Amino acid sequence: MLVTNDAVSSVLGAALDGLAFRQRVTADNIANVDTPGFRATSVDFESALRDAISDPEDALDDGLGVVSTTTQTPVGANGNGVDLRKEALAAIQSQFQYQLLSRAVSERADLVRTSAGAA
Amino acid sequence: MGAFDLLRIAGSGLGMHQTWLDTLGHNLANINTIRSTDEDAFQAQMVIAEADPEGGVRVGGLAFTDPEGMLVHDPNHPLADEEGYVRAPAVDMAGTLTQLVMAQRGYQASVQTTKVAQDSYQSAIQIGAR
Repeated sequence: MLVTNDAVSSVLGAALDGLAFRQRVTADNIANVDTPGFRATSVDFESALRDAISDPEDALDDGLGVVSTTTQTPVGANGNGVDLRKEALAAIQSQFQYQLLSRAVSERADLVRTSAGAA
Repeated sequence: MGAFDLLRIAGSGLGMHQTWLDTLGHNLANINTIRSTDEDAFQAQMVIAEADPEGGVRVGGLAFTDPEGMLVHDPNHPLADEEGYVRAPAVDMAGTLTQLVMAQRGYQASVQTTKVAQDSYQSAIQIGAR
């Protein structure tokens, strides 16, 4: 839970939640790389986040309407639709995004701490 | 250009080279696929690489070698026609193996690019960090 309840912190928190969900789904896809008939799932939280930012009425407090969709990528001989290369790259990118966002969160917390007059 | 474009571009290189490797493996696996003379020969697949205007590369399509193949005189073959001919694929093994090395090197280069991308982004994240 974030220290404050302002708009910036809500956006950062929602983005972190979305990324964490994407990392879980990517891990699930990679774990099932050899499961016959398994279809890969992808997560889109960015569009929901963009809508929430552009529309101030849309409160982020209840979380985003994050959607995970089953992908229609070509399947291999055993009906498996996981593209290992794509999933590995997605895992790397999510990791960088998570690092960036968590740094933004901690700097936001530093700002709040400073403004509260803490040493 | 997105924030993590180098990673996406390197990934596109991996994908194209993977397809190339797959087709070369397919062609080599079928190098002894013999057909009768009234059928088309096995047609080797060739990847058409295409530069992506957004950056990176993609498979534009596949080309196929001549269905004529080569007529080989092998009268004892069960598929041989009256004159004793069968149709063998026109796959050049030396050329295919050379391409296999090229495709492998391209794949390795793309892997190296993903490593450089990771190192660069890692450094960028450190900017101004205490």
